[in-house]
Amino acid sequence: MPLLETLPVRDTVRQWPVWSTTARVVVTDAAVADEAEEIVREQLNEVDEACSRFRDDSEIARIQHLSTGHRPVTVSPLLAVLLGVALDAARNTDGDVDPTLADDLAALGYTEDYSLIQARAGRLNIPITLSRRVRHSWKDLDLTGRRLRMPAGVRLDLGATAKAWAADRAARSLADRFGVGALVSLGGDIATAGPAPQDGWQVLVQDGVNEPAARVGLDGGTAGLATSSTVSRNWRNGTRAVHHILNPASGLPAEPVWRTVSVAAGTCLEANTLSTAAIVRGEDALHWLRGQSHPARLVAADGSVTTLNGWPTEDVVRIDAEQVHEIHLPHEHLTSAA
Amino acid sequence: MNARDTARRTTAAVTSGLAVAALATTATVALVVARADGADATTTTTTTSSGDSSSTDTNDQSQSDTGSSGSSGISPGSGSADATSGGS
Repeated sequence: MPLLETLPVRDTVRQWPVWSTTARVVVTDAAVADEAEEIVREQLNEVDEACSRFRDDSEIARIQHLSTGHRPVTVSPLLAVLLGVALDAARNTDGDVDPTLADDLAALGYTEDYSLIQARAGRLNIPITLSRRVRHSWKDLDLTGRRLRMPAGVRLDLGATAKAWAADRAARSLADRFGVGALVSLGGDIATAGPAPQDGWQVLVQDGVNEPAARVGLDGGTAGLATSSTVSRNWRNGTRAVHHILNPASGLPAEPVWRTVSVAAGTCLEANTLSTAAIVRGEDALHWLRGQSHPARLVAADGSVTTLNGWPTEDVVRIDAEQVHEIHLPHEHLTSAA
Repeated sequence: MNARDTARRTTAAVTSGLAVAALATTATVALVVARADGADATTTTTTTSSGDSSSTDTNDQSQSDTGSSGSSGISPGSGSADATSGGS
């Protein structure tokens, strides 16, 4: 189950459900909190209309229907940006973060909003098979300005990069519009902009009540923090547990070498790209992330924690009951599905 | 001594040498007993000549490998959290 934020909602905070998770907006001036929420809601709606793979009326659904591979299709300025950042993420990770995996996710049962997947946990049973079909990849897409050329049959999932980009965009918009410090969290993908509070933005890094927790402050040039997980957004397909971060080489869920990977970077988009790619890279992630120079924290399958590149050494963090959020499938669901 | 014996002895010698080298590069081993938020935690920190460090928390199994590229903009947390970063 994705992050369900349960931190206190103060007068500087607005919070609401979106995309099967939680949007949380924090501003340094309570007077602008209502307007901030309105702006962010509007921006998220725009992103959803542009690239949701769960809506038949989204622009990306129409584009996929029109694409033949022969003639380019003109997309909206917003979708062009979203496609651009997705392709940049793929390029910067040597294809580990690939936007052409929508069909593979669907083959695993992720065909609709995650809240609906979770609601029928234990009743999903789609055979998981390795096919010999020619796999599409990000390299099959050609985006020039707003002109997209894409082979027929490619289905896109821009989820990871679109959400992180949306968080960055929203935080910057609030800071620019109101001249305040702003933090925007979309399901735990966190972007900040404008002047930070005196001690920096305080972030609890934890992927569920039973997972190791850390608390860090963000300030200066580190404006984004993202966590990718193999234990969130997971579901049962028959007797097999699957999760949503796929290895593009196989189209199957990445090996759960890491329970979570968190990365702090200049933007939420960059942080999310690195954390997602690290999950895909598995055991090679340590060496690769070290070379990326951004602070990172990795929780291994056995619960051990490794931190890199200046991520603060961890103290034991005791979480107040009011700050606990539940992000796992209920145990009884797992038991009954097995 | 046949070729197989020679190879085995060479392997043993190299392995032994690497172990000694690893010990030699260990500059400090510090045992830190930290008290955080009312909980007792024991952290073993090892620093090597390369500048990397690792720490093992007896309660949390945590390891820290700071590498050589440390980065600004992130610090230990203080006070109440503004938001949570978890898997989304």
